[in-house]
Amino acid sequence: MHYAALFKNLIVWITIFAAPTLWAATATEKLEKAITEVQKLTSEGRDFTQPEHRAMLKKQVENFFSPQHIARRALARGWGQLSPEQQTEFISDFSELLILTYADQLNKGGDSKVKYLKELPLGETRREVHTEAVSDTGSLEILYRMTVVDGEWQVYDVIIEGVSLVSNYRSQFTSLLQRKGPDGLIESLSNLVEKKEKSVSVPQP
Amino acid sequence: MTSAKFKLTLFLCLSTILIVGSGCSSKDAETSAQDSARSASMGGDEEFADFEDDYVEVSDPLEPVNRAVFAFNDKAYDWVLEPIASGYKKVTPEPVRKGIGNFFENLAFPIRLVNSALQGKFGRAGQETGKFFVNTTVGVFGFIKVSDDIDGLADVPSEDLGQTLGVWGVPNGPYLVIPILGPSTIRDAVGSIGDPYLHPYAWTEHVWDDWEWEIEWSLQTIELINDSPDLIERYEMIEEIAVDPYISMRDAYFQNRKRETER
Repeated sequence: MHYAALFKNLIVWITIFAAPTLWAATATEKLEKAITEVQKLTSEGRDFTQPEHRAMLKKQVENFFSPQHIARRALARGWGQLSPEQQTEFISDFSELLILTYADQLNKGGDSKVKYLKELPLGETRREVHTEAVSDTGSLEILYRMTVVDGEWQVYDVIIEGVSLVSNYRSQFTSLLQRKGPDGLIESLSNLVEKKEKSVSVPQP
Repeated sequence: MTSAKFKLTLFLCLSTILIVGSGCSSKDAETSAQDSARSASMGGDEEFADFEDDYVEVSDPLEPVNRAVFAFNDKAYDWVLEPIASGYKKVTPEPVRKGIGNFFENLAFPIRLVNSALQGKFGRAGQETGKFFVNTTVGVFGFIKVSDDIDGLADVPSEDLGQTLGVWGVPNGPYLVIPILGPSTIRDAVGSIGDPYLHPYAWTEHVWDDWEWEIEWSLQTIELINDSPDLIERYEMIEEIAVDPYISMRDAYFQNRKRETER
């Protein structure tokens, strides 16, 4: 009796206090699981020059990348300059660009092993997962910044050899907005997606 | 000899520009535009509070000139360097290419040693020395980078004069796109003119009577061709996914150098 009450209490306290810690333990796990799923697609011989195989990749990637989040961060204060329709179009084009880039890297890259090195907290709900991608030609330091979106760890930035993808795009978008305005920005982006789609669809030698 | 004199003159000129220019160039239009972007994004949106982390100050008053040189380089890479790189890659087995790369990297050891010391990183200077001895002896003149498999000698961040100046508090100065060589800043350009004085090539002529500048140029050409596949691959990776390749490359350069200077 006494023990049962204690036990119930314990459960309640653990649930209250351990919840953030449970997240903390899972940012790396979530990332590792998601990347392993993507690697599975490659090892099953999926060819991302094919649109239908790219759709499978997109589905996997959307499990751990949040396109809305990344797009908003990449535009920063420019976000407000876009009309709601332009915002929707921007998100869809930008996430398409990211998927195409990922597909292209997988097509070209061959096998690379990912080593999960450490996880650092960046404030309460953000983590930075340090990884190293090792291939025959060398190794790349890749950091994934993750945050909780709808109760799940999601990547909001990727930093390759010290270069943040999101802030690199932000510098481009800011400059484009200044020079060509929202319409010019959307046009440049969709032209690039179109161009990239063509080059990714070319079979690899 | 004349080439050394020319380099020295260029070095002094750029140093002067850096010293004189650093005061007035740090606040141009673009920087203040970014400043306001930064304060706007930080003021309201708590969600984006960590923008501060990856904020890198960029100064580019020479943008029109830089863009022209960038366009020229782009064509030079496409028409000259890319064909050389892919041809070379076809005929050279990857381990051989890696070995040659290792050899040249090992040879440039004095640059990394002296700059580690100039930055007060004596532990790192020791690591560099250890790497050099192990790779030169066990690794057969540096062709095999055996140090990569030794704890404490793997992944030693590489130091150069541009970083040393940065550690000493010299600002980057304006962004520069140099013909063929690509992105730099005034500070890093000064560094890359100064560094060769520490390279073994610079003092070989004093100890080896038959040393000619032709030998140095040939070796440098071999090194460039050997590196070219990696350079092209990295260039294309950035260029192909950029909405504005010029801005993307500039930002990547500043971010990457900031990290290297901090390491």
